[in-house]
Amino acid sequence: MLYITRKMHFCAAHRLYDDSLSPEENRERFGECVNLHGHSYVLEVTFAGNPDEKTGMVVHLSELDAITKERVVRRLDHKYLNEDVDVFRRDVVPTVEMLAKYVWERLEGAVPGARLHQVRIHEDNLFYADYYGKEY
Amino acid sequence: MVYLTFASSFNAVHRLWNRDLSEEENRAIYAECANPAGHGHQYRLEVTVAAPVGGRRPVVIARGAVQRLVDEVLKPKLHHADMNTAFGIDNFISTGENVTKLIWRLIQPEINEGITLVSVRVIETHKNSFTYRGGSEEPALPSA
Repeated sequence: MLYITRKMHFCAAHRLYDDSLSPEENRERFGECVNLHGHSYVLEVTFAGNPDEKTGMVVHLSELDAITKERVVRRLDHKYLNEDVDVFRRDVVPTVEMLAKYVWERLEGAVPGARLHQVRIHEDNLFYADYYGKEY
Repeated sequence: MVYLTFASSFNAVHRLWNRDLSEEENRAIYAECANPAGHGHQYRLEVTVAAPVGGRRPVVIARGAVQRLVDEVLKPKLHHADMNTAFGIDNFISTGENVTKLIWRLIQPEINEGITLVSVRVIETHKNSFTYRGGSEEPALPSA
């Protein structure tokens, strides 16, 4: 089994706020993240598979890029996550962990011939989330 | 589960030396790392926890939880400290391996309910890093 990782960037705004909690509880839970702010996110997607005998590739990188751009990056890049992305508008708090799960769900099974292995999202150079699907 | 990694760093001095060995034995094992004045590193620390993300909302806000742990539990003990004495263990041999294990032991009991400590990684230099996942068994993480 071979693992191939592709890195991408997107910039987005968000705030961490749970509508079912009071302003004080939100402040307690999310601290200064209740204020509108943004990140330069770095997304790493890792696919697993065996290289095709003819091409020597697990997945063609331009195909991987096109799928990831269409299914994920263009929906997040320069967006206000809380308002512009359906799942986060419906009261899912757009933490980096929930973003990793969102990306997984958008990409799982979307690339022919390769199995999605890992989604890693760096919020900044100190913090990142990894998601391997709901069974892990 | 989602796996969250929080990175930080601390500066500390250490000297590799085992009091139970002779000068020659220490020299043979630890070479220049046994020099009497010790030497320092800017250690980079990566703490990984696992948290459930099944529902609509994150169960815990891991970034804040782990950051507090590092800032309040680890940094006061380790930043600008002597690693040979920082953990309060007599004749502690402050190899990267032992430091990594003791950092695990320091933070493990402090981990908030609802999250699980998965790994502690100590990057001693750009050439050396050490990862401890508790016990001596490999964890049930997918390999890559």
